[in-house]
Amino acid sequence: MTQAVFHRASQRALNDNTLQRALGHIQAGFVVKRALAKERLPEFDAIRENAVAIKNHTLQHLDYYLEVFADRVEFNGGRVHWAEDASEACEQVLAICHAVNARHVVKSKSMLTEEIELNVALEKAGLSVTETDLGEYIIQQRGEKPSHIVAPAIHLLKEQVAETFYRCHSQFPADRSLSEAQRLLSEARHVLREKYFLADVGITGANFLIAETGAAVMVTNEGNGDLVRALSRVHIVIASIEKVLPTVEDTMQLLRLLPRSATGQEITAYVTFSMGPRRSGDWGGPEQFHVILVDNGRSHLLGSALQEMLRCIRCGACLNHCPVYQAIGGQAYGSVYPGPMGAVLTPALVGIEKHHDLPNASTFCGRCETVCPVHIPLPQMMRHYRAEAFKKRLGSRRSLLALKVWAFLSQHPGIYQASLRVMSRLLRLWAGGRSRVQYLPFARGWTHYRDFPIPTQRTFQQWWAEQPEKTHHE
Amino acid sequence: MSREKILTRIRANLHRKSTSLSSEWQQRLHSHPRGVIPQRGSEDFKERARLFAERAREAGATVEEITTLKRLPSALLTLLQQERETHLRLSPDPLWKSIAWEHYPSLLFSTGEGRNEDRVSVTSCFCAIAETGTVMILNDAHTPVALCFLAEVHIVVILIEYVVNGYEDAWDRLREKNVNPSSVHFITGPSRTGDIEQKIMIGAHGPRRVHVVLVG
Repeated sequence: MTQAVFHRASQRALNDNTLQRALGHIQAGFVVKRALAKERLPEFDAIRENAVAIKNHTLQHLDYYLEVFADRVEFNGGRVHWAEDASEACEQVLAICHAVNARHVVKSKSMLTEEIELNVALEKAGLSVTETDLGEYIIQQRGEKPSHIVAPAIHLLKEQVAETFYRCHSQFPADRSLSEAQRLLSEARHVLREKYFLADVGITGANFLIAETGAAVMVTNEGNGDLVRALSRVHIVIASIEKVLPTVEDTMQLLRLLPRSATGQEITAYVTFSMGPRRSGDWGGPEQFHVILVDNGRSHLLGSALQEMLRCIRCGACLNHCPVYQAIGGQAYGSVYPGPMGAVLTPALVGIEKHHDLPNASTFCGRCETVCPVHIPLPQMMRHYRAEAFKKRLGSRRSLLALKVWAFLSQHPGIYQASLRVMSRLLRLWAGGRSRVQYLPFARGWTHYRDFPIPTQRTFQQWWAEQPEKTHHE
Repeated sequence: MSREKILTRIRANLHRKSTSLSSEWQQRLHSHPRGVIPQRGSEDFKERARLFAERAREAGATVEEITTLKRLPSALLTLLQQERETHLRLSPDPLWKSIAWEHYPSLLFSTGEGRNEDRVSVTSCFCAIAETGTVMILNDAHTPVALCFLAEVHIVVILIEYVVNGYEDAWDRLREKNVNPSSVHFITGPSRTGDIEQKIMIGAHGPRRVHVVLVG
């Protein structure tokens, strides 16, 4: 995405009244609920410190734990496939689907499958794919991308969902009422029930992989993940390599942080530990169990300045607390992962060239780092990419020039102070005695939304120089 | 092979030639250290059960206590009346063997796997966890887990001695039994979604009601 595209997308988002109403729910929802959940668990910060240590340890020995995990899955009767990149991962899923003559696939929400564009690949091969998470189902019907990594349809109002269902569910009477959210839910439940029973293959993501037991762990509230798992003949788990954790106990530490940070719940309604195909004597469960371990750029981050990003557990707290995300929503970012984590992860995975604007979509207020359950230094990483973008001369000529001028001025204090004095005199002249102005040439972007304050007689530097000597050292 | 390429790249970036085997982290898998455990349980089993019930209710479940398993059929009859349903789907569980179902001819039930048409299902569970009011269910010959997700109302029966404090206690219990089920499920309250305007609605894909019967 070029600078102009991101700029236009965020402008559109700011002027979209429907979107602004939908985004207005974030504060009272996720933000307040997370604060309450944290308060209810006095051990929250201690668990957080431990979680950071667990993730760091695992990343440092990632090869070892991945091999232990893979061996354990095979021991349990499952199969493990390793994929270097998106296209290999999609090919592997397709190969499994073809081997069992699959026609219908059901999925539970997975950001990784968005990243590798699995649905596109499956549909191209003639398979029908149905997302079963309610939010994901809604945006699939609308042909949109998720706007949030936890709540994919957070940008929509219920009226828009109703519109979509009237259009897509032609099997129901056109004059039915869908004005209540509960009706929308029942309709989706009804439609999706049939899909579970129809499906040959069920695809789920994983929040964690456990080396000790070979389990793929999935955290959900709706129960769709469990139904996908329980009713499909073939269960494919698709997970990126950094999801692995050593033991069940380690996983429980992270599990205590994830729902609290994401939705403010102590635990989600469902946590599913899939540990292979059905055993002999079982009544149900998949006949085949596959895990696809996807790298797609992760291993490159090991040993780099961005290694800590691999601690991310995708809770979405940094999105919910970001003033920029709250203002423009997820779709304006134009990347699979939005918000502060997306502003770091996207350039890390696909390169800074196409996404050099994302690290700029931040006020550097630091709330993302404060609420991150695994203490990822997101502002510092965004700064890393800003420097990178400048070095590679990415960005508009105007912004590069402005940065150069700024760099020159801050390295030449004499010229800096002199030009400040000139500027403040010019401003006073323009203001003609007023303390604020409503319009400034060359700065309409500022004065369009607020008045510009006019500096008083002296600059700070002048005032400071006039202070008695002793205050300088206090 | 992508496996080798990925592992080689990981090792190269971590500045290692091969998987460095150190007893320290092999040990981690065997000793599985517990980490930080929230202090929200109790040593007293009655108090533990009370805490479990309280937190299960907070998560939206309904909880009922009965003194012995013999009273289960009459509890189930009352529940069916409440829900205006007539039929139960029961898990094929040896736990029910001690119950004299024949004394309750008005209680209609069938046994087996979960089906789409089931309205009310009954299962036992492996254990219950006081920390968050969670039940832990294994998919095995006695509990086909589809029973827990397809019905409108899921009734879970728990013997009071199977209530543990934290998640770690539940996993330790699984290790003790030395079983390796194909899947393990934590269930805490009914199915829900917040995907439409962040308002929580109950009964998304799974049960709209989870009813816990504590026995003992």
